[in-house]
Amino acid sequence: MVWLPNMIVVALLAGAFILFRTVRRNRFWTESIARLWRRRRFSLIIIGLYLAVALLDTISWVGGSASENASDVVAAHKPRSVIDRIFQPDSFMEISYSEPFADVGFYGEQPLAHPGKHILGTDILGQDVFYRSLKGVKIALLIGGLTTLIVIPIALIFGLAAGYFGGRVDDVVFFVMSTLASIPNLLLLIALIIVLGTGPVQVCVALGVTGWVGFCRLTRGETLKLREADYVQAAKALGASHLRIITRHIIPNLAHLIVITFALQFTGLVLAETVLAYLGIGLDGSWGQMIDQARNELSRSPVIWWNLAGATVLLFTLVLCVNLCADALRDILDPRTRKEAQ
Amino acid sequence: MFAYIVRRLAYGAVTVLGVLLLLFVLFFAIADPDDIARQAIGERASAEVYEQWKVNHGYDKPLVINAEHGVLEPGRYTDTLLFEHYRSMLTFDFGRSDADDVPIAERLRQGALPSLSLTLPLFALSLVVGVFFALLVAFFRDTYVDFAVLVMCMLAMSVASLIYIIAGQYLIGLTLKWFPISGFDADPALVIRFLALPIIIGVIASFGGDVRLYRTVFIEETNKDYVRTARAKGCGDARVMVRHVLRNALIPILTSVVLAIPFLFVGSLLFENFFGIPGLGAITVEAINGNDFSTLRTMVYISALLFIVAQILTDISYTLADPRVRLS
Amino acid sequence: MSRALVELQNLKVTFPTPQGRVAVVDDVSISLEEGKVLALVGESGCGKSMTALALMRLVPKPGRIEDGSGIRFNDIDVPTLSVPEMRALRGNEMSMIFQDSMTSLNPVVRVGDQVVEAIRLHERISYDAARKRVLELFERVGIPDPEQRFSTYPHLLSGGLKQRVMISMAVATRPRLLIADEPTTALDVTVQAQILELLRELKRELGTTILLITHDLAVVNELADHVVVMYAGKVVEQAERRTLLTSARHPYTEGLLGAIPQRGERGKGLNEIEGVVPPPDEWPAGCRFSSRCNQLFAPCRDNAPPEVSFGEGHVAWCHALDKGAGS
Repeated sequence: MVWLPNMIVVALLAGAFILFRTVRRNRFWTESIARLWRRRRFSLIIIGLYLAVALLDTISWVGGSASENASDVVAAHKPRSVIDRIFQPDSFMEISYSEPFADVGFYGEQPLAHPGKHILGTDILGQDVFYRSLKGVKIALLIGGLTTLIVIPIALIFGLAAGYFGGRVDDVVFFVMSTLASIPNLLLLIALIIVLGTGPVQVCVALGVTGWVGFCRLTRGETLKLREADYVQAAKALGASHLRIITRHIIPNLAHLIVITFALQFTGLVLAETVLAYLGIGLDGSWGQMIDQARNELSRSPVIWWNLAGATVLLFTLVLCVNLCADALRDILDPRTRKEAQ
Repeated sequence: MFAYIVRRLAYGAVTVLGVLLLLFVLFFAIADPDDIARQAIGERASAEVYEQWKVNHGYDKPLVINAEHGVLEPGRYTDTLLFEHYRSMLTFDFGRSDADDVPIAERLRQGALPSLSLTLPLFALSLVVGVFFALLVAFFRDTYVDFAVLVMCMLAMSVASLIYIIAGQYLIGLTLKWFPISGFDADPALVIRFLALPIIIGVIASFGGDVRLYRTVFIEETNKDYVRTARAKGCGDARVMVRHVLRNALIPILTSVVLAIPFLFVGSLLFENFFGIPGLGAITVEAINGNDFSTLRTMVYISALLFIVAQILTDISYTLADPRVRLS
Repeated sequence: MSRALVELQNLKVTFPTPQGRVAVVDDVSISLEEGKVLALVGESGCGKSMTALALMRLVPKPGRIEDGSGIRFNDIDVPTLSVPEMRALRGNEMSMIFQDSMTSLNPVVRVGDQVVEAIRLHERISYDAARKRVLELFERVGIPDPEQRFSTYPHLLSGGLKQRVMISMAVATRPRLLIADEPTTALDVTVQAQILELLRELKRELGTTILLITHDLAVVNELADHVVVMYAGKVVEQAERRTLLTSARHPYTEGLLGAIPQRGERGKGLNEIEGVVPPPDEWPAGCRFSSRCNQLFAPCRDNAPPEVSFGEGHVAWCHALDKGAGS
């Protein structure tokens, strides 16, 4: 299984490249992206940093010295990512809590093994908090990004089919949607995870099942409207096939919705995971879990805050940047404001 | 009109059946009854104990078809988990908790009041605060006030609700000591002190998203023609906002809000558990932690049922109240 | 010659575009005499409505009336008025009938109350007194069964009735100036005639000055005393009604007149102008009509057209006419 994460990285990079090629040929999208870059340069750079960290944390291989005092054979044969290799978590640790940049332990004041080097201090097990927070990046992007990448095609297919063909197809899709929508999101999510289990794949599936409904409803509604649009009727009258109408006339007009929904869904999922973590069914190593573990430490005296701060700040920054970009994208891509700009 | 109501009710009933089917698939077909039994009484019990537990909790039948009965006997289809699941849920006979054998109906009765005493004021207050600030922001649109509040909303939206709870409890409860940090009391005079903290935190947590959403609705209304008419009549900005825009904007706002009401009964998982309020949300969290499947699926069913009923009621009352809908 | 009630001097209204602020109303000067009906004519997108909204200082954001624009109403310098002073003028001294009565009435307020509001914003009278006035007004503008109509909601009324409500709202305070923005466009032909008739009666009874905005020369013929033709934010020709309708000089006005079907000229085909008004940021540099004009020659594209006068207030702005006058 060493190759799987690396393959995913390759696949993602290839997908990004294809997307880049496609977008470059389209004037509207290149202009929109240029406008987004002008308005949200800072946020985009930060999102890029997060992506870079996640990629570095996914590219991994076996070998090299697992740790300086490598006695554990199992650890030596575990694939370790670039981030792992930079931080060397097996040796870069203390006995227990230490404050950021501290020279001595938080309790007992014994000297640290790596004085002044823990930017965000260490947690109860002596692990470096900054390292743990960085490891959370991959989990968050997995929850938000991967789930959304799964959800959008499914929602798009069902929403398009229901909206475009109507009739029986619409009845079935609408029934499934209204059934899922009548259960409170969080409860459905919990029920799914409890039944399916708490692994990363299961959690993503559960998030996907609850997440597609809203987007599917949106797609269906828009498609219904577009189906009646004059140019679609005209294309039909000219004898265009269904597939051609859908790919040429409907999907391009849904593209802005897809992009905006992607961004909103992403932040919603990342935030929802913290609630799951609190309920004890989140993903291992996520920021939600760190926050959940850190909450009891606030009642210690003196307060241990760095654990909470690390995860919170990284989570907040990511969600804020994506929110800001989503907001700008809505302005840039919204057909109504587009018309006003003309 | 009558036909519409009948059709709407029928569709609601079908949706309820759909929800039950989903629950059946999740809690009986995917989750194995043997696993449930093992989790409830532990790994090392004897086979008879498992069987006895499954009989007591109604997990002892085959899923969809009971092969003990002949093809033409009704028992072949009724003496099954599927049929039993539908029967018990539709007759509100929820049985006992998988975890501690307490009747679930009893639990629901006890939990409803604490839940509502938290969620109702929280809901009402968030709505009022949200609408008020959104109106203010829409009034000052395209000024620095608007910009500042929008930035604040954006920041507030990006914080996880768990952080609000943790930070709120720490700052207001532990540091400032204004209110007790958690607990509940049946005495209405005392309960306010316990509820104050979760309500304040809840209002703050929903502030950002609400204000932005309502602001969009208000701004959309202010661009309509009737607003121009009102201004041409000589209405001032404040009067336009309160007398003309607010009235129109409240319709879409209330529609979206009404559908949130059934969820109030289910309570808030996070808040109730965190602040020790013994409501339905806290019961659900307990059920999650204790692998109490029967309670969990009852909670899901009840909330879906309430939602479907509320939806039907809104649809029908809309049709009755708004002639524009009736005509179309 | 009676005195001018409204005087616009070099009015300029601009909107921001990615290429900078563009003037949708550019250097427009119009004067409207008390008691007269002035028609502002042109295709949609010519800046007619914006001119009227500027007069009431209701230009929607992010549009702006540029400094240096002179707007005088009843010898008051409108741009310098404070907000409350302006508010006291709107709906009281000057009021407006909008084109689309469907959306211009508040959908959730009873129509009677909307008219009551118009009165009580400017007069300190009780609700009941205002209500009585509204019922009389409804009677006057030809709304049948006023008592019952008073408390219905706009969507229950027909287009014609809604427009009558709009008119009663506009004249409720007996304004000195009534701006009617395409008052009949959204209506059926038979209802159009009734509404025009009503406006004519009101003008006669109340002596109101009317600024009529329309693209329909038939309406102009019915109601107007004086006509100003606008194209792409500029005035291109102005004259008395009869002069303009019979001997228009500007190619654009001729085009507008040519687009009306004439009885007895069956088979001759209409001389309509080709194309549509381009959006403001694509207006040509010289004469704005140059991109569609059929009498185009050298200076048109680069130089602003000169003012050419034909006497009796008949003025046009056109290179072709200047050449004709000079030779």
